[in-house]
Amino acid sequence: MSNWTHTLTVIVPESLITQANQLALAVGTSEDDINTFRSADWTDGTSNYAVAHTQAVEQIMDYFAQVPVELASGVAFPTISISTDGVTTLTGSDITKVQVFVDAEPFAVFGLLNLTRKEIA
Amino acid sequence: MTIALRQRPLACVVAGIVRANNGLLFDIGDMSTLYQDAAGTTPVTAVEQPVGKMLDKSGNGYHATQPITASRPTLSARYNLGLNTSQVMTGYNGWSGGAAGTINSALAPDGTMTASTVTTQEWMWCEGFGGAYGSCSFAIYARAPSGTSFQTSITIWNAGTSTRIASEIITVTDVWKRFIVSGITTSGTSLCRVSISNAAGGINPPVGSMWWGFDVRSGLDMGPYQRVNTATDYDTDERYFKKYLRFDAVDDFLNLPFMNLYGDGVASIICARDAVSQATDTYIISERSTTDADPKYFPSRQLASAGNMDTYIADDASAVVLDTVGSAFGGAADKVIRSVVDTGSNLKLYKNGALAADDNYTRSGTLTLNNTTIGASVSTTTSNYASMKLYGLIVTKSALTDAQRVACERYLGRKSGVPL
Repeated sequence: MSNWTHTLTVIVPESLITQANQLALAVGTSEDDINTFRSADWTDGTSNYAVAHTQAVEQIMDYFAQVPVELASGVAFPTISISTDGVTTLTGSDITKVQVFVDAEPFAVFGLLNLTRKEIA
Repeated sequence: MTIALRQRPLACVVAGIVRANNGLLFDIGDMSTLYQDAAGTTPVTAVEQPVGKMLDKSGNGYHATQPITASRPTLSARYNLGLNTSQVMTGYNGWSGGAAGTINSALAPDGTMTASTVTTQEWMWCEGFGGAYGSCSFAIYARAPSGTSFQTSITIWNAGTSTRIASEIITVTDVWKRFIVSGITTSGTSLCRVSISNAAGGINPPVGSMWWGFDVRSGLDMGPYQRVNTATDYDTDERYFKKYLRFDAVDDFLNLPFMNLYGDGVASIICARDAVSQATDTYIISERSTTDADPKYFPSRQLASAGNMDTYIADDASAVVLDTVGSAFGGAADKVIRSVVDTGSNLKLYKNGALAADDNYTRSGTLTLNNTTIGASVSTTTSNYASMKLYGLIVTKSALTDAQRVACERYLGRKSGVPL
């Protein structure tokens, strides 16, 4: 059985792409993770964002706990809950920070944040 | 005298075809060709692990790699989209409202004590499983209390609009029976909901009724029940659950050594599912320049995309226009094989081996490309990504003959379970 038991969906304001890449390098598996976020090609109509979606190992939250405080302070971990009558609630969202959603369906996250991709041909 | 004719195995024949045509051959089901990292040091050992390197089985060395952790696609064999830890009644994406029940309280069809029994008569429903497939199917085992029977209604809904996709009245007796309902969606982007209720003349599941084997999946081909304990722990019997590479439509793709496919004609034979958009067909395999926004070349679909390749087509006067034939994978929620053969002056599209489009055209100009990818069209400024499940891929740097193409299609068909 795989130990890649989590998924992460990460939303990065355009101004924080450099910091987000440092974070990806800190918790990722490859030196090339410094290039995880390349362009802010998602938008909510006001601001632009870079996004990523990835499998993550079961210890991923331990890894986040070990990143330098100057990086960690810019990260939020919002949660999504669905009530028994189908109402979706977003808690802890902060669009000024790097937002990391754990075990959430990425396109549900994008929908909740009103993000759409700036399509190219 | 006896002369024994020994036929070469199809795998050898196809590897020879691909090798001779300077192409590549990826077989997702062969886990020995997959690695978690781009360097190829950590083998893939189980489903739901990322794939950072995929070996080309042709011997030509066109190995696919992805050095960025987040951009790696995932090996999977999951078909049941429901997470039903206790088979029914509980769990995210499992039953999430209505009737109450006791889990693991009745003998299930597989002989385990894992069926659930209803304790409060109410409708049962769940939602949150994937849309955007064009079609979906739901299956569940049901049994009535001893000596009784009842009728109830299974309905698949578009959860976004609360419109019905499919509905069927079922008669449940005191013998376990599996019920399957399938439907074709017209609005492809919303999540789906399934309910079992008193709609259309039935009754809500009565107290004492037993339920097991909740299974919901894209496509119309339901197949045997796949038990899903967690997102990474589920049935992987290779007879029923063929492995595929899942691209998430967010950032997953693989890099190839630049192949210059536009140069001398090309053939691509692809086995995939859930690749339902014209755009996704495009990004299955694509070539472009990393220094210019245009042009780009998409060997995995009909040539042109308006505003891109059109500039490089001088004459396309025949009845079938290259870029308006439609999506090769449109509505293909179940596994299909699509082949595109481009000679440089003629383009043919085959759907499961049958000719679907045949178009002569004339090229003009010269393309300067330097980047070949699987699952994305990677540009200087932004990129688009495919949402797809890829079972196998063959690409050659020359247009295959019909006999060669058929051999490649049969090979991928055998590996992935597509009857041709």
